Amino acid sequence: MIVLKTSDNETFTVERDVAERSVLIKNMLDDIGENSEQAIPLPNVNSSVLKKVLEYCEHHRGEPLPAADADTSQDDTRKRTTDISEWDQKFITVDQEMLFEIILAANYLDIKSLLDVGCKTVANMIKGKTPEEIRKLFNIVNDFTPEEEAQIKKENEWAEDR
Amino acid sequence: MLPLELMDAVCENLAPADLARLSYTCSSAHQAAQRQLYRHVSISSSRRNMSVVLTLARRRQIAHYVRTFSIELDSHSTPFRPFYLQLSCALSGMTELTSLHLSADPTASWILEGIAFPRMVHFACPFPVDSHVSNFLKRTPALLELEVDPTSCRNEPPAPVLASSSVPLLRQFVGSSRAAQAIIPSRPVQSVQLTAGDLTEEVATCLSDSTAGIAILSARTSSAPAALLQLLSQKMQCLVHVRLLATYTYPEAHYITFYEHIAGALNAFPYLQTFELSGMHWGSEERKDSSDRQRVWQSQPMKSESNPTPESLDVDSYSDLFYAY
Repeated sequence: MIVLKTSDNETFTVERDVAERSVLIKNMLDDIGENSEQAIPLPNVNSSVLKKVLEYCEHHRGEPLPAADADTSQDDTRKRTTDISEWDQKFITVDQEMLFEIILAANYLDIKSLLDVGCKTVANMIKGKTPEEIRKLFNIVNDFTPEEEAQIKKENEWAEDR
Repeated sequence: MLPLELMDAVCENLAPADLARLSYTCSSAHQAAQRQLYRHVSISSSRRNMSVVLTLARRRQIAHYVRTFSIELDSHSTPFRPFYLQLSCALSGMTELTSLHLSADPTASWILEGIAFPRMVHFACPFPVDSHVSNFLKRTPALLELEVDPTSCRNEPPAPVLASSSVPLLRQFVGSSRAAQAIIPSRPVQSVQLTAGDLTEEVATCLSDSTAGIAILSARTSSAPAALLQLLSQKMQCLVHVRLLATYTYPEAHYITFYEHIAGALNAFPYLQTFELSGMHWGSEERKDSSDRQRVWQSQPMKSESNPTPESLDVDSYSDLFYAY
């Protein structure tokens, strides 16, 4: 068992193989060695988010981790599959603030599969929406001048559905 | 909104139309969407998205994002020279390009003039190997796969020989036998597919000057297949997969000896795994007494029809293998 300590000073005691779904934690454990009683500090994650993240790690424990060299957005990985498994879908059905927090935590903790699920969920929210709908959805303020906006529309018009 | 590097990860999951609409929302979303939208550009006259060429020609910053570019101009609509000028200008800005697929007017090779792609590994074009193409290939040092001159005419003069320092890493060639003779010698080509022209003994001898052993060969030949195979077994010992389309007609009465000759020639290849002659897969089995990979080739191909099981397995894996290259 190992102990994790969140930004709001809560501690979580979890089994090692669950925590090691996070490559960050795995690397830290490798560095400090087996027998340390020390709590691992996670200053970028609060307890409500870590609880969620550990729920995910618990469910997916034992599954093979993606190979380290298979990651990064290489030019030939043009996967546009936005399929998410049923359990993950249910898991990620949270309010937008929590969704973004989970994505940031997955990125920080280096849990690639969770990061994927989060990013695909955001992508699915964007799909098929108009620019105005996207702005509303994410509280985006349009910082373009009308001229800039017209210019960008002209440049990217070729990609729109017709 | 998410930080930019995570927006990149979101954008990887979006189709071009969604990326375009996202790019209109605000400047930070624009930055992420734009990079993904222009990373892989695939356009064709039928999809009516050719105007991207104008955007890329005018905005070098955007052209810089492009990693793979494919353009399919259908044969019915012939674009005017001004369009090709814009295309040439757009290409010149794609300094980070790794793959280029041009399906265009075969006489428009001039659009490559003055363009350099230091990172390009794959290039396919319908142009013959003329001075524009051979000069262009001096400026693509990372190239591994080349498709060129798909339908060369018989009466054209031989292609100009490439500068010896051009495309030093080339691994795979697809194109006419005429272009192959100009390009393959002194380069480490391992896979050769001749789409036009005849694999004569002279051409085969020339191709064997590849500095790596040729492992995959596909071609049409008017030579007698057994004699050609015999030459290949001497000149290209590394061959693993061979596909020949023979236009040679042999006297029908001798077809048994014909098969025997072929099988005899095939047995001289140390590494050959699959062989196809004019669409017919040649059966073989692993040699049982030795641990090396050499195969025994059957001298009566018809046999496989009465007893199809082991051979048909071979055939399936064979076609998959071949298409994988």
